[in-house]
Amino acid sequence: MLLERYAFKVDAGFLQYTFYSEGSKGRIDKIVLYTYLMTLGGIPYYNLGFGDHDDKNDQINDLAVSGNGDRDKILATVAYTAIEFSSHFHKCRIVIQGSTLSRTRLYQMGIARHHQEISQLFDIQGMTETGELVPFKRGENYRAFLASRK
Amino acid sequence: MKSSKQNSRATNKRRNVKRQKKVVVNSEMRDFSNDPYFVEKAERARELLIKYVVPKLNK
Repeated sequence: MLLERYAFKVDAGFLQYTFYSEGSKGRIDKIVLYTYLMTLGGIPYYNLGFGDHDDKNDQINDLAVSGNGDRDKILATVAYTAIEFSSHFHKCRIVIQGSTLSRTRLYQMGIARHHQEISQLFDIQGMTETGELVPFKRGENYRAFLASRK
Repeated sequence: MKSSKQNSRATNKRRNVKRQKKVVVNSEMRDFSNDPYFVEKAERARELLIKYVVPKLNK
């Protein structure tokens, strides 16, 4: 993938990634955290958690729309953390779910926009409203996504 | 045919992306794994798997 993205730092366990979004509203501290969920059928599942670190109250949230004018660059950076993570945690599945419906739609649009590039590295499944796991298709709505490195 | 300006832009973009590829490992990074926000997010994802994925595997 050759998408413009931010440089990021990673912790020694390759589970936590940090980067700064830089835009019209200044510098925003972004955290991506992969949390182990469970192992199913021999495959470990991890959750992709993503949020802003608010310096003022020292809390994480992703409900706010930071409006820094760099949405695509941020999503690309998160995608690159998934590449880095999955190169250390082989054969895992990453669960991606927004904290709100609109946030999940945002992820969905990002995946749809770059599906061709993403699908070279990952198999993406969408979870339908009824919980079925189906291959990701543009134009369909999902409640969550599962990504597995090819 | 691409102009030299377009070629130069494409080359610069490739260089910038290449430059960004370096991953910095920071062993002293603050650990957010116990932050309530991330714990809650993981719990939601776990519930999703238990509700929809586990039953299918057990069939």
